[in-house]
Amino acid sequence: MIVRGRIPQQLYLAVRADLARRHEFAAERVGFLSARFGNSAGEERLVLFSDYHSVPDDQYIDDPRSGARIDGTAIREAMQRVLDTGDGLFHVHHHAHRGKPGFSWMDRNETPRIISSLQVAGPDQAHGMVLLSDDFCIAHIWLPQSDQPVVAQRLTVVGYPLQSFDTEV
Amino acid sequence: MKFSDEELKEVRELCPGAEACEEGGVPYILLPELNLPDGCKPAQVDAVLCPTAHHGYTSRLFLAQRVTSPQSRNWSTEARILERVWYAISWKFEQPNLRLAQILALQLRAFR
Amino acid sequence: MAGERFSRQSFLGDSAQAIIGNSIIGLCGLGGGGSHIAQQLAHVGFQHYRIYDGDIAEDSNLNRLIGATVEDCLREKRKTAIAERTIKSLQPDADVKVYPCRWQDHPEPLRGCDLIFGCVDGFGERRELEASARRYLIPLIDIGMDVHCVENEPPRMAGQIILSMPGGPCMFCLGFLNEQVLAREGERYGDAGPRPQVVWPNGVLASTAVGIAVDLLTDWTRSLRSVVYLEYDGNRNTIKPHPRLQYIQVTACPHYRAAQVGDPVYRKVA
Repeated sequence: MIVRGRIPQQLYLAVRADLARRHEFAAERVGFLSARFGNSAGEERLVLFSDYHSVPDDQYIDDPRSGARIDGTAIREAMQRVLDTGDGLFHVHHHAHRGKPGFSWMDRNETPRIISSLQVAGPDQAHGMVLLSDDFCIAHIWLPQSDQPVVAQRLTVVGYPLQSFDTEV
Repeated sequence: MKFSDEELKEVRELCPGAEACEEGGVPYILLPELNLPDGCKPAQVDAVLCPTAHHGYTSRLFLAQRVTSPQSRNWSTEARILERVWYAISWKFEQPNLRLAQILALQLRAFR
Repeated sequence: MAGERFSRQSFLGDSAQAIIGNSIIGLCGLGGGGSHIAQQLAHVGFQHYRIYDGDIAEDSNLNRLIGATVEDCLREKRKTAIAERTIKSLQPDADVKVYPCRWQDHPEPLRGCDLIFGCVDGFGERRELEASARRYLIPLIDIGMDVHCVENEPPRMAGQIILSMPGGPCMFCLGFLNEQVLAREGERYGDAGPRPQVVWPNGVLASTAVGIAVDLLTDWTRSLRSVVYLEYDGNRNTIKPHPRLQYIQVTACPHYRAAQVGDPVYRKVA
């Protein structure tokens, strides 16, 4: 199964700007991207990002073991958003380096629990996690009814210029 | 064109599964398994109503397939709307200040 | 396919050829405009194509259909097969997915493209293609030309090149599409007759469109940063930004909103 993601450039830049803001105690920020499923009848599935939701400062937990830990309210609000809009949601954060990023041990163990909650709220949508570096972007996508993610083969930032990030799958 | 929830409810009395949607700034009402007037074959078909101007028509009813009706009609248009192909006959009428259900009823009159 | 082949276009940037080679290009319509584009894309080094046209080559196409021969017409060869042959003659290993039909009849592969060239007939079909491209967040480069005949005046040849970028101004925002032109086209249904078409304006429009595509992908000029709407005057042999552009102040397209991306979602009537 090939899955590709697309995000409008304006939205992509807004995500980067929000995640770059300093937090009082968290080492990094996280947010959520809304996404719609596309080409569900085709061989290549599409995840189309349409909106971004910043996590408010007071929904972070001060935990020195984690770069950014969010509280139950943030997760409940994310689940409610899935219920209200019918959209999928993608947890997004940034690792400050150049080149292709990789999800950390913490990312791989903690974030899928959030995805499971999102899947309960919206079982027919694709959910997942997006990771940015300073100049690259990857995504793991949980397709509807799936408990394992697929790696997005390509993420395209749609704008001027057209920018694609390919992941060898 | 904005229409009220009340108008949409009236349409749902004619087609219980009616749903509103939009594409390219144009409002559409999706009408799943719309009942056609007596004598049409098939008697039920998915349809989409465009209640506003569409390519020279004041409103348009698109059907998922060309149907036969008591009077033969000129199937003049094939259009792709909301990622699906639809067919429409050439059928014009004046519709000043009509409600959605009235527009639908007048569109269906062509198939009597 | 490295080595000397692309040495004369190395100015496009170190990663340009890889970007070009990895991009998936959709080509809707392989007539006078699309056949030119297919050939040029192959010269530039594109490797992944999804090409659509339901027509076969006819004698009346030979005044402009790039790659077509007299024998192709005699054998009623499909335009898709001619374009595929042209591409493969330059890029033998190219991945060319061929759809000998209208794009509307098999749209799923088109949605997987990174960039679409629209070389379609009429305003209605342009509206449909742009709606689909917007829904799946795909930039669309549209080209088209026409010749208008007015009594006692020389024929007037005109054309357009539009880069429709999701989120930015669409063809409605640009004033290229509106209910009036769609209505006029609807009234002419079945009475259009053969439209005038010649090779040279299609070549101009196609070359410009390919240049825009290469710039969009490689950013070699570092100056393509907003909507493109160019008008071609075939009588004066000029291409220039459409005058309407200076009056357009659309930052977010009101016709194709962000919330409408993806497979259609319907709102239940309460």
